[in-house]
Amino acid sequence: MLAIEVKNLSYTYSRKTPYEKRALDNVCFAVEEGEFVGLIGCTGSGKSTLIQHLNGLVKLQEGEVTVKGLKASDKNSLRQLRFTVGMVFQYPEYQLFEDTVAKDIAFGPKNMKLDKAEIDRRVRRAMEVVGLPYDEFASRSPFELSGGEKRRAAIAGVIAMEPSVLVLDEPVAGLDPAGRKEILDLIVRLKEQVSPTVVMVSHYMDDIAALATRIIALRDGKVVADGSPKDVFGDREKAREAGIDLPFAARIADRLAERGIALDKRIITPVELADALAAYRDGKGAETDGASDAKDGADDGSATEGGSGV
Amino acid sequence: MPQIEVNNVGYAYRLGEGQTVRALRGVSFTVERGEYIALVGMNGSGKSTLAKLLNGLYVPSAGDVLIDGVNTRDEERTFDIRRKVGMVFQNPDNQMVATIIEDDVAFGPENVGVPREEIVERVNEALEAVGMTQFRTRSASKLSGGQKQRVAIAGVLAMRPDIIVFDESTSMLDPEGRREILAVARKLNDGGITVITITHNMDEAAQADRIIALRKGRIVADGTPKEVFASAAVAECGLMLPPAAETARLLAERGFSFPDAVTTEDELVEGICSQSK
Amino acid sequence: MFKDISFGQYYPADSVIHRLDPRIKMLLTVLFIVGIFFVDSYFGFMVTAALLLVVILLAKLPMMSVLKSVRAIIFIVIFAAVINLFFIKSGEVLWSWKSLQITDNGVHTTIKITLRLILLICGASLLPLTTTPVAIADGTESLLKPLKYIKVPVHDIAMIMSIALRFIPTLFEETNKIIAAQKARGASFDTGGLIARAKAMLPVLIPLFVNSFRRADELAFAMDARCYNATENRTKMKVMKIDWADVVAFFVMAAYFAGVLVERYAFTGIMDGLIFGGLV
Repeated sequence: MLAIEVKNLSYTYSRKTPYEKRALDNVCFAVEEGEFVGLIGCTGSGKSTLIQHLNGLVKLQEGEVTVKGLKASDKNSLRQLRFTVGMVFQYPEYQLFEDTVAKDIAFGPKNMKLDKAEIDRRVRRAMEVVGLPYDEFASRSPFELSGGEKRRAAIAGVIAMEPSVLVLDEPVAGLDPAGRKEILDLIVRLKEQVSPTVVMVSHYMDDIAALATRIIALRDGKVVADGSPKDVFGDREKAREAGIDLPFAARIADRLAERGIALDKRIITPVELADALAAYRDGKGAETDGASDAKDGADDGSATEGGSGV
Repeated sequence: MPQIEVNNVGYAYRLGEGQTVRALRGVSFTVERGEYIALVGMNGSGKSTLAKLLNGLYVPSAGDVLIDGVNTRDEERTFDIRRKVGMVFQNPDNQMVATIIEDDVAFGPENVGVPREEIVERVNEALEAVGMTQFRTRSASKLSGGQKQRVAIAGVLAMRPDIIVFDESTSMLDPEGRREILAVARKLNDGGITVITITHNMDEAAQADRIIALRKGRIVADGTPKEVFASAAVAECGLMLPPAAETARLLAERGFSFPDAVTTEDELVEGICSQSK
Repeated sequence: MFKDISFGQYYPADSVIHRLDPRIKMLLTVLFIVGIFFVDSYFGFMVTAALLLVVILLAKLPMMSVLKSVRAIIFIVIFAAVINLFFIKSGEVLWSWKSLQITDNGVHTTIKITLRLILLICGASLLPLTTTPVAIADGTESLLKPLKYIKVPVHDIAMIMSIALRFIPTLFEETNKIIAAQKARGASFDTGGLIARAKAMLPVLIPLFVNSFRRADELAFAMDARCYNATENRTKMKVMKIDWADVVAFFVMAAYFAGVLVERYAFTGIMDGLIFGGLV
């Protein structure tokens, strides 16, 4: 089933003024339920404008956006669209405002006009999922939490609406390594337990390589690459043209290729790289011809694709 | 005489109602002129507190911090120390005083009463050094994060400092901005300025000459990146290995061996090539 | 919600107007604002418009940047126009419907008030468009200098002004971000009565305040680190000094001001009569 459908979407800022800027240019894609989309592109490529279209925060100019059958052009279902698409903005902790964590998380469900028992259930569940035990955190002030806890509380505020699509804009920005790992693990958990479809905007290609099942790359408002991470990163020429940085493992694979160790271009994670190198070493004993060496390496590499995942 | 001397420093601050938090305890180290040091640790490890002790924004609760032999407790010398130890902060938006870039860069020299002609000269030099000359009369609000941080660095350079402390100055930037700032820091260090960078990005730390790792206000490791990444300190601090070191570890599990600890991409590639040929 | 923050934004360009001494520009702006309230003839408005046009061209400003500030007050202009159009009863009746009527005096007054407001805003916006906030703050400090002798902390006031100006775009941007985030959680800011709407702003205002305190804290550290208050003998990179261009500008404005008064009181209506004949 389709979760998101974006058709011929174009958007221009400050129309009909000298400051006119085309932020999106005929963007088309469809996302199936259950996909994990990594949305990439440099600053100013149109990513933020695109994600703000998904829940109707930006008014449609041209084209159509449909999420779970709700059209962004339909004013009557706008509120429902907002609750269907959970949106976690950059540095979401800067939007906390209530005097207790539980009240802040209840803000969304309250706006949904749910009854008290249901709000309570959702707040408890959201806190449970993000790892802030209700008994310990519910009555604390969100402003007294640590940085990582604040961010999780803010995410809980979105999750409590139980959206079927979760959109995250740079969810790990500014966190230390432990905080990053916590949030990335949390996103995987949220996808399993709350929102089956996830769109994550990130500058970190290693995170995208590890988590996403699909990459959509924007540049100057246009979709310049769309496919599985292996396909997108694997097509080096296209990736370079689209201005896409490579994940660490792919970068190393390229440098090794220059030194005569040809590995599969579709290696994108350190585990895959290590497996491919081990296979290359083991295969080398049997083969002596250089050319088929390279071919072997490539075959071994693609074999790991299905197996190791991350 | 070392340029920076931190002697058995402790720092505690009050958190209302008599509660005190001890952010640092028994911290000692020295820094020689021209070193490039990464100060690493998780949030709450005390690394930002330590940064603020280096230019007298904080005064230690115990022990002493000496800059070129001058104690930061000496109030009469506070501004001499701050002139010598420049600091670039985390949020590019919150450290700019003036709207126009050249006005902001001039702020420091104006504060210490540098004569007008010399201010102009210093602003020119500083903007040149960070590659922002063509933006000098523009408004800072329209710049990218990396450009804003370069302006902040120019503001520090206009004071002609001997030491620059980067307090998580890259943590809010995108990868491009981060690369810009690292390149500038490297260039300044090559020019003789001591660089102390506070970061939790291990890739960045791996580029330093020396890493000091903090955990709960104490130093748990102090050495070259190789030494520190090979020790248990990284895991202890809740930090992660840089990707090159992590990959080397994965390869070691698969029977590869790296006689020297691997911390950078170059070392990883060399290490792999030497045993795959 | 706040889309247009261009009013009062500095427009960088290298022009003779940009280089004028900020103190002179502030004085001229005051003179202009006072002057335009004495203009009461179409001839006067034409001269004023021509003067503004010359200044805008000299300042190398795009017309849009000046007109944008008019857009910001368009409602006030329309409101003033409507009130005058329908409530001035003197003169010849041109049109009437039930108790509403429009007279020729009403039409003239309406046109003049509209012109006056638009020219006033265009003229006043030239100061912030061509003068950096720091220069405005410096100019204020210099003009207020005499107050130093009665222990008014003039420099601190100027610093506060300049920082406030510097943070306006930052806070606008932040406000928009918070509004978007709360909307994404189903908040609505445009339904319900006045009290409901005021209450709906709390989820925006509280984080905005909290974040502003955090910003202020960090800014204070950054200023201390750059030796703010190191010495009483602070120097300035940009020294203000009166140039020949400032003198010329001052005399042009003085001539304009004198001309306005003479035209209004000595030649009342004569210029309009000469130019427009029986039309006016």
